[in-house]
This record gives sequence, C-alpha cells and structure tokens, in this order.
Amino acid sequence: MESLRLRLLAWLLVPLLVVGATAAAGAYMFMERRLTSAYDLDLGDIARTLVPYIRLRDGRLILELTDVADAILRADSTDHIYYVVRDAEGGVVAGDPHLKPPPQLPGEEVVFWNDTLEGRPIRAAGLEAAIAGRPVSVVAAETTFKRQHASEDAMLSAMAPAALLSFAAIIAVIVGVRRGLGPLELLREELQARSHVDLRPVEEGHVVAELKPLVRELNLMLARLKEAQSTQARFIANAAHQLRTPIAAIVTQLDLAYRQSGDHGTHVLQAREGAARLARLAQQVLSLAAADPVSNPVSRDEPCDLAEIVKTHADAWVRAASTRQVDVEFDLAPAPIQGDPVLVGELATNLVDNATRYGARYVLVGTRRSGSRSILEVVDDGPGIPPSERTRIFERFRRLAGQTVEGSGLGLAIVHEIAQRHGATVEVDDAPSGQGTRIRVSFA
Amino acid sequence: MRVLIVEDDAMLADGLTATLRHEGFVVDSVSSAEQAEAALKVSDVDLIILDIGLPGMDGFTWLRRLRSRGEEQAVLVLTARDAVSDRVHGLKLGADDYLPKPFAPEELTARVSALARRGRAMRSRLIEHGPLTIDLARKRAMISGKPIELPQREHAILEYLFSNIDAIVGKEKIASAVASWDEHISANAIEVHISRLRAKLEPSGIRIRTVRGLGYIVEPWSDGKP
Repeated sequence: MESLRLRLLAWLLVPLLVVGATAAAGAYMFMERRLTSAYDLDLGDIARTLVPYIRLRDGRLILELTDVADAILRADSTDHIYYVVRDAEGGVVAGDPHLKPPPQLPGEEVVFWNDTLEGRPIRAAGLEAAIAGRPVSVVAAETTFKRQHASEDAMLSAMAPAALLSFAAIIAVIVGVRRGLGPLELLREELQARSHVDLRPVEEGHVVAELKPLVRELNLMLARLKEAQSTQARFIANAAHQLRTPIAAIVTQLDLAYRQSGDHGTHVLQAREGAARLARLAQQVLSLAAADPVSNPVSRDEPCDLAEIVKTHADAWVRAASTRQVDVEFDLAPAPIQGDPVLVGELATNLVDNATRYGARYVLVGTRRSGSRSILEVVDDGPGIPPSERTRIFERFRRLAGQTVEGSGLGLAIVHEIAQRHGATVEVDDAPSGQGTRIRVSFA
Repeated sequence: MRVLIVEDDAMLADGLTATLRHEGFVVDSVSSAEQAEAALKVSDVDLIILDIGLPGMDGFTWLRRLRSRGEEQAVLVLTARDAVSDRVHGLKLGADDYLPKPFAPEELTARVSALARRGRAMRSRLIEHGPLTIDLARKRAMISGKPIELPQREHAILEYLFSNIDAIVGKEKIASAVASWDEHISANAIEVHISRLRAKLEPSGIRIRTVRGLGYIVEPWSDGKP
C-alpha cells in the first residue's frame, strides 16, 4: 500500500541518516589523524634524542647512555618504549635487537610505520644519521595502548553528538510528518462523521492550501451526487403521487363491481383487496419519501408533545382497529419533544397499524417522560417477534417468516426512518405480560 | 341531498358518482372548476367533492373564490398531493373535510354522510343516528319516535357526544362543554352519566364505546347490528 506518510519519512530519514553517518565518520577520521601525528611527534623526538649519544670509540660505534637517561627515555605511563641503533651493516649497536629495521631507507627526516613486536602492534619511528662519517639508523617504537584509547575516545566524541543529533532529527521528522499530515486526518474525520445522506459540501475555509483542489473536486462530486439523488427521490415521490388517482378509481370501480356481482363476487372481492393493498403501498412509499431527508429536506423542528400527537390520531386508530376487532387503549402523560409533529404522527400511526394488523386483540399506546427522554410505547398481545428478527424488522420490505396477513413490509421501515431523523432510538421487546410485543421509541 | 363532484379523472368520477347514487344522493359530476362554477348557477348544491389537482384553475383557488363569495356548501377536498401541508391549507381555505387519495369507498361515503348529516342538523336542528333523534331546538331526544326522559345534564352530554360522532371525546372536554362556568363536574360524575345514557341507548343498538385513557366514541350505526 502506498502511504504518503511512509514516503515522506523515507525521503526525509534516509538522507538524514546518510548525512549523520558521514559527518560522524569525517569527524572521527580528522581527530584520529591529529592524535596520530601528535603521538608520532613525541615518538620521533625519542629517536632524534638518541642520535647525539651515539659515539665512535676505538673504531666502534657505541651508545653512551646512562641508566638514568635510559629510564627517562623509556618512561611512559601506559606504553612500552623500545629503541634500537644499528650500523650500516645492520649490526645492532645498542637497544632492543627484536625491533626490525625500517621497511624503507629513511633519510634525514623521520619516517613512521606500523609494525608488530612479540605479537603486539607497535608504532615505530626511524631516521638515519652519520656519526663521524659512519651511517647509523635509529628506530624508536612504542606499543599502541594510549593511541588505541585515544582513538576510542575520538570515536565516541565523534559518534555521540552525531547519534544524538540524528535521533533528535528523526523524532522531529516523525512528529513533523504526523503534524504536517494533520489536516488530512481532520478532513478524513469530518467525512467519516457524516451520515450517508449528508451531502453538504465540505467547508473549504479551514482546509490547507495543498488540499483545497482536492476538496473542491470532492465538493463538485458531492453536488453532482446530491443532484442525482434528489432527482431520483423526486421521481419516486412523483410516481407515487401519480399512482394515487388511478388507484382510487380502481378501488371505487371494483367496489361497485362487487356490489353488482351477486354470487360471482369472490374474484372481484380479491381484486378489490389487491387494489386496497396497492393503495396502502403507494401511501407508504410516499410516507417513506416524506421521512427521507433527501426527498423531503425541509421538515419542521418545533416543540411538541407526544401525548398531543397521539390524541390527534387516536380517532382514526380506534376506528381502523375496531374493523379488525382490536381494542386500543391509551395511557398518556405529557412527553415533550422537539421535532416534526406530522412525521412523528406518521411514525405512531405505523406502529399502531403494525400492532393491530397481525393478530393482537388488545393494543396499549402510552406516552411519558422518563428522565431526560420522552417515550412513546406501543404494546400488543399478538404473536410476538422472535429475538433473532428484532433488528431486521425495520428493513424495507422485511416480513416475518410464516406471516400470512397481507402487509407491505414498509410500516416499520417508516418508523425507523422517522425515528432516525429525530435522533430517537427504537427498541423491540416482549410485552410486559410475556405475551406479545412492546416497541418503545425514545426521544432525546 | 345534492352532491357535485369536481374531478378530472373520468374513471374515478364515474365510480364516485355511482357509489354515492347507490347511497341515495343526487349526484352531478364535472371535470373542471370552470364547469363547476356553471353547475352551481343552475342547480342548488349542498355538498361539493373537490379534487385539488384540476386542469385549469386548481381546486384551492376555486375554493378560495367560493368562500370569498360567501357560499356555504359543505366541501370535501380530495387530493393526490401529500397529505399534511395540503390538509392544513385546505381547511384554512374553508374546506369542511379532507381525504387523501387513494381512499376506501366506504371511508368516502362515511365522510360524505357525516357532512350531509351535519348540514341537515344545522338546518333542521336535528341529529339523527339510527333510531335515535336528538332535537337540538327543543332539547329532546327520541328513540324510534318515542321520547326518552333525560335530565338536563345527560341531555347535554348526549348532544355533545352525537355532535362529535367521529371523534373520541375526553371527559374533560365533555365536562367543560356541558358545565356552566361556576360549576365543576368530576370525571366520576361524567362516568356515572355515561353509564346511565348507555343503559337507555343500548337496548336499541346504539353503543358508546369507552376508549381507556382518552374518553368515549360513538360507534358508527349499522343496520346489521342487533
């Protein structure tokens, strides 16, 4: 997966690490050279110091060095110091015979090289001199303990700042990248928080300059989507409207036909019932359209009371229920809400219709205040809804298995849409008596 | 009772005409507001069934004209447009009732009968419900022509119940409708009055149903009932 964050981090961190490592290596090499030449200077001095003490006596070269002078010359806190003086033939005049002669012939100037002595690394300095016309070579050498210590110190003092600096830079880059990508995250959160019907354009004002073109394109797309969606919603609503008059005509004509049909009435009766179902379906599609914020973007939002809304519809419910031999009772206490009384009335009507339609004998409609919420409750003594179906009955065209009563499967979808639009929750339970269903809509 | 149907859908207009004729109304049908205007000039119409979505002048506009001229026919508005805002608008313009399409024919005849009854009651000062007749002018009630004896308050409750025949009426509403300003009638007293009214009405098949938690509703009269 291509990640903008990983890309940014790679482009910033890799060069940063290369530069840090190069700087550390450079500093180390520079310090190492300075240290080596400083120690070499001392070592060269030892070699040079020996020259005046070489004498020619009785035709032989000797080193005239007192024990005290020898001790001073070899004095060093950490390293061993060795020296050797050889004549032109390579014979040892004085000093440590194990010390090898220089790899190349030194001149008047001191030359330095690395060597080993008894298996240990040493640093050696060599020079040539002429004593009474006879050439001699002087070699001084020392073990490399202090050089190694100094080199380790140099390594540390070169690496530590570079490492610290790199570490700090890495932290800064990681935090910086995260911060820098913050506006993207904000935009993501804003889009994520939206519901599927919220097609308002994204606020461009607080968006960073780099994201503006993207947001602008997004807004244009949202606008096109909104247009397409409302065209579709208008089409559905218009289609349902257009259906109303012909359906009313068919129902009326079939009703007349049934009255005149005498004994042959069953087919006409069935046709009439089908037309009545069609009528109800068209009505409910329209209710659904009215509940849908896309096709009905303006709804009222005003203080109203669930008890009053129930009272305005109670007559119609009682009349409709009595044709199905269902008793409807009421237990109404004030339950103020903020919302559209028309849509909430539609919600309640569908709940009661649903409760009276599927085999209940008795339905109780209640409203009350509970804590900070207002409750609308419809309880019936019908066959009940199995727990596995309780979340799915609010889907459009969902009908319970084995259900023989004709229904559109839209009533509870309307309830759900209107509740959602009012920020209300819908719960389905067993009725308190154990027989039947209780549906509770709770408004904040 | 003369009914004028103003509806442009021929099949629906035809069906409505036949249905209402079957119920004993005298029915004329026209398909536009302009034709309705002409029909009003030649015959005496008591009730208008008015579709809103008419070609030419729409139903609301014509209703407004009708009412601004002071014409007092009962108007039942039919509409295919979506309910509620139309309903409020229509009632504000002076419609007496409102029925969204599609409707069940028995619902339409019930509404038309209720409007007709109300119109008759307004003119004759009589309310009729099955065998029951309430004489509003003389404060008397009769079942099948025989007067029933009712104390004044029970008669007032009877009048109130049968004037609001399609509605649930609450005890408080009954109390405030029948009590004078300086008395208070308790819910219990209303219950007692209602049960006495029932005892007198039920033998003839007229039922007052209790809707628990809300009040009472008069059950529609049907000849099929005992």
